[in-house]
Amino acid sequence: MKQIALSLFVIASSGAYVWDQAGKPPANDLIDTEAPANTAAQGTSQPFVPSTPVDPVAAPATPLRKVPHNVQREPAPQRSVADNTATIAAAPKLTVAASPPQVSTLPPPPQERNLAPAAASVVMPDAPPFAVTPAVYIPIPQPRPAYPQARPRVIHTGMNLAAHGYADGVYTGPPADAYYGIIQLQALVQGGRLTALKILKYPNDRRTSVSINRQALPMLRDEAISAQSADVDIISGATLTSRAFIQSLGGALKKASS
Amino acid sequence: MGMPITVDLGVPVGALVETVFDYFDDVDRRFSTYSPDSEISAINRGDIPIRDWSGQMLDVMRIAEQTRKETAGYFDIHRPDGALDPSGIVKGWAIRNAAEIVRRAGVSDFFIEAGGDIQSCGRNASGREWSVGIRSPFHTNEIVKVVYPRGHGVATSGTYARGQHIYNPRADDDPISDIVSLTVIGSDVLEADRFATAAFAMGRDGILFLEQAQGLEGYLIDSNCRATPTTGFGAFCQP
Repeated sequence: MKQIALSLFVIASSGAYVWDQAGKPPANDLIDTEAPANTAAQGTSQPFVPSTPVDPVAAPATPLRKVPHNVQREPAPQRSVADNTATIAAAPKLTVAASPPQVSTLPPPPQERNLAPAAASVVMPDAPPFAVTPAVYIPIPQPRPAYPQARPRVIHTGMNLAAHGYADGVYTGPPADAYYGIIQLQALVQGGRLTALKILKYPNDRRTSVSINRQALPMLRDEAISAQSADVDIISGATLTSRAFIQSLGGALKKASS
Repeated sequence: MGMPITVDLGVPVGALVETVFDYFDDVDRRFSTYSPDSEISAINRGDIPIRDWSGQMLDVMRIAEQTRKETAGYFDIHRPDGALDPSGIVKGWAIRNAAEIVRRAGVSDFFIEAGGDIQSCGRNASGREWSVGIRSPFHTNEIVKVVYPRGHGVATSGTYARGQHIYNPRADDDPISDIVSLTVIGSDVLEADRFATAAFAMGRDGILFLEQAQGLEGYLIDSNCRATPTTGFGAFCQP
């Protein structure tokens, strides 16, 4: 009986030992011990917390209960979340401000959102209702101030100015600031009409200026044609001269221009 | 080509002159839109597929397409009826090639003029620069400007000789009446010719186009007897 009891005890203890060892991981196998432990420590309700700082919407709702085994890194993610939150919160306000009816009632930027872009808080209160261009800001060069000369008038050559009754003569305009430099014109008036413009000065010190002037000014200089000495080697003209046609057209144009 | 052609080689080389005129005859037979036997007429009838076009035709078509792109469509050999008419560049193209024939023959002082378009090279018999007079659009026997092309090509487009033979491809029914003559100086006569045609079609803006184009100068005369040169044109007026 005693032997039977001893055997039963031995069997029971060995069974208990086996049962106990089966519940434990091998002592020298450390793979993946941390994750289950952390999960167990935090509880299974927040399995995705470590990945949330990049998600500004979800982040504030999350209590940020990170495991304190990495204490030094804790403040950094928190500030990042705050930044994102501020930016996201400011952006819709810009959009609202851009719609005209609400500009006048726009409240000042909330003081707790000091991280909002500086440009937005500066521009918005002063902006007139319909001049707001929030999408892209294009810097426009401002005219240089404090230049005493009169503003230049642009007159196209050949424009009919008979109504103004200009007296014939050569007129030199004042030097005028064209932002990229000084421009000065001389006008020739014949028969009450402006017939030619001569460029006395134009901005030519910069490549941009030269490019602008090559594009803008050639039409401003023209000349009356006049017969030259016919002592030339070759003559260039439109093809197949037709004397009658030329005489007819020439007469018609003379009438038209007289 | 239905137009007067002048060849001055400065030296008495009769055979070379014949060669040059033969070349122009050959071009005329191939490209004349007036002759039903020409290659271009056969192409427009649909008789010749593209793979059978001559090398010269393909060369002209390639230059025409290049010019169309360079002038934002103002030069276009497609006529309103759908036919192809490369006359606007064939003349300059033929003069350029003829000049090359003369150069290869060893002649360095010459000019070739066809229908008012000119390629000159070297100097004249007096040892001076070749001088080119720009004809008045109003009086045939008058010259309104003298230029010295110094090896460049010169071409003039106008409404006064053939009547209105250039139209604006962007507005068929809008005749170009304001400007009557446009002379272009280019690196060679082909450059001058193709851009003279295109710039003339642009009307008043043509001179602006030439002003902005590299290597091209122009002289525009309008119906009020006033002329507008490009900035660099004056340099060609000094002997």
